[in-house]
Amino acid sequence: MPTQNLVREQSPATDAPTPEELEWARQHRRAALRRGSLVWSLRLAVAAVLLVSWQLIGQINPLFTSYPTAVAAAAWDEITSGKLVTAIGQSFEILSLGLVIGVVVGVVAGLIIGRYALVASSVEWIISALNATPLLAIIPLIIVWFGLGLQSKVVTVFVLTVFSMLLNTAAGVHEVEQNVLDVSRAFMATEWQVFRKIILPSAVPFIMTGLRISIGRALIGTVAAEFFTGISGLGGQIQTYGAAYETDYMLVPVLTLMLLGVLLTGVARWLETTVAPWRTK
Amino acid sequence: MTAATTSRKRTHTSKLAIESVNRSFRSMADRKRAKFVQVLNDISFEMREGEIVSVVGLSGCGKTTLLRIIGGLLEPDSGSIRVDGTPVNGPGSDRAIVFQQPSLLPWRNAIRNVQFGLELKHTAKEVSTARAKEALELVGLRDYAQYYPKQLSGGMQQRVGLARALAVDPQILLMDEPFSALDAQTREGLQAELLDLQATTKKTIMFVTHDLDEAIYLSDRVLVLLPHPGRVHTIIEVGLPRPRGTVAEVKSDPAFITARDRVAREIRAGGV
Repeated sequence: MPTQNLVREQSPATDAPTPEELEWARQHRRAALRRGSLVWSLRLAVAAVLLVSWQLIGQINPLFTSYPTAVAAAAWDEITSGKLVTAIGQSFEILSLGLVIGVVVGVVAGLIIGRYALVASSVEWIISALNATPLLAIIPLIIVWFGLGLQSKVVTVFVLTVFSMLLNTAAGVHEVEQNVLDVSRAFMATEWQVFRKIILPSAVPFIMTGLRISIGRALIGTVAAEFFTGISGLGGQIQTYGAAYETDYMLVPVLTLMLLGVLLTGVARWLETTVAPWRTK
Repeated sequence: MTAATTSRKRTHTSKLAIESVNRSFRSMADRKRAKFVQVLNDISFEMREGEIVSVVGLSGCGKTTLLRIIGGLLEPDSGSIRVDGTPVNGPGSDRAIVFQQPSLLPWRNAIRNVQFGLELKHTAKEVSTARAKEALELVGLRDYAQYYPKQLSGGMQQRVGLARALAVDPQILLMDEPFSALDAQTREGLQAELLDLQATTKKTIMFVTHDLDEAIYLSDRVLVLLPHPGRVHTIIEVGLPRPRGTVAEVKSDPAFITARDRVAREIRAGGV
């Protein structure tokens, strides 16, 4: 990663900090630490309040919300019996397959649509319409086409992710500076070189944003597809336990999905800043 | 000297020859009416090898359009561009452009930006690295090869852009107000450096600017365009010897002042 200091005409100075600067830095660090610990204690307090109220209210009628200790026991049971790991594996397979296909197709189509105005004006309207449609509504149709197996679940995730990838990539292509395109024309770049060396790298930050949005949608797609089709994965567990009114067990996959979403979005956020460090100001 | 008037007969000696170039822009004024604006009207001039010619004129005189036509980024409606007597059509590696904005690729460090043009021509890696280093050296950025555009000042970014143009070893350098976005000190430093650089590389340079001091200081001749439509008004010999000193030194030279007054008068002569 490049260093962040702004270099001026002279070579970078190697100045040692003065005692005042050292003292100030120490105080600054200490103040930051104090503030950090205050924030974290407040967060823990909020978590404690929530958990205790959940525990108390949940025990009145466990069917409605269950309560933390019951959920923890259910989670332990699920983990030790290996059911949770199996479910995560099944869901993750659907999620990753659908997401990868959605990303690849979305990026390629987005590059083409972003670059060629005629292609854009002929298909963009339908893409916007589809992007605005709650696509979960067509899951029954997908099942008719692809059956109840893995295929239709992957297709659901694909359909939910591809449009946001496509629209974000296309937006990235529009951001390419005309100046830079002129430079490449003056150097007689071929269309393929323009795509590979200018448009694709320029669009990377936008593709990463699309990826972050798509991960959330892919999770929704996975669970929804599992509801509708063969009972498997985390969605299947929710369905099964929900139908049996076992709220504590039902909440385990829900919390797992929450964790998975936070984790994957975190990874995407990290990628956003790492893959395109030149974007960060 | 009468080179400007006699060179028309000696076409074979001119590096760059512009012959009767016309260009207009067409757009719709409203839903029904089209509007044609003639931007360049019958532009003809020639440049000798190793010469620096500045193009000046009020805004709307088509300076940038002319440069883009010569660079092959725009097509003329009629007329021709010849390099060494051979007509050229579209961009070519005999000409390289430096724009007002550095237009660097932010994800590439300085040397990889300089290599960009060579890379597009599939130049061997060792050759392109060596040439890029040489070009960076020429613009005084040897120690900054690994720096990213964001880490460089505006003046240094513009130098990287210049190095990128030099790296492909063009015969003609087309510069479109390359220093106009920089502060005065940086600009004057770069002007002097450009003269040094031209003395070593002997490039033929066409320099578009609206800064008359810059035009006189850099050029052997100044081409004055008049606007609406853009047309050649006159070509003025600067008559300052080379090598020239710093901007401050040259500015007090009587020949500089004479040439500057003359150019200013000629620009106004066209009226507004």
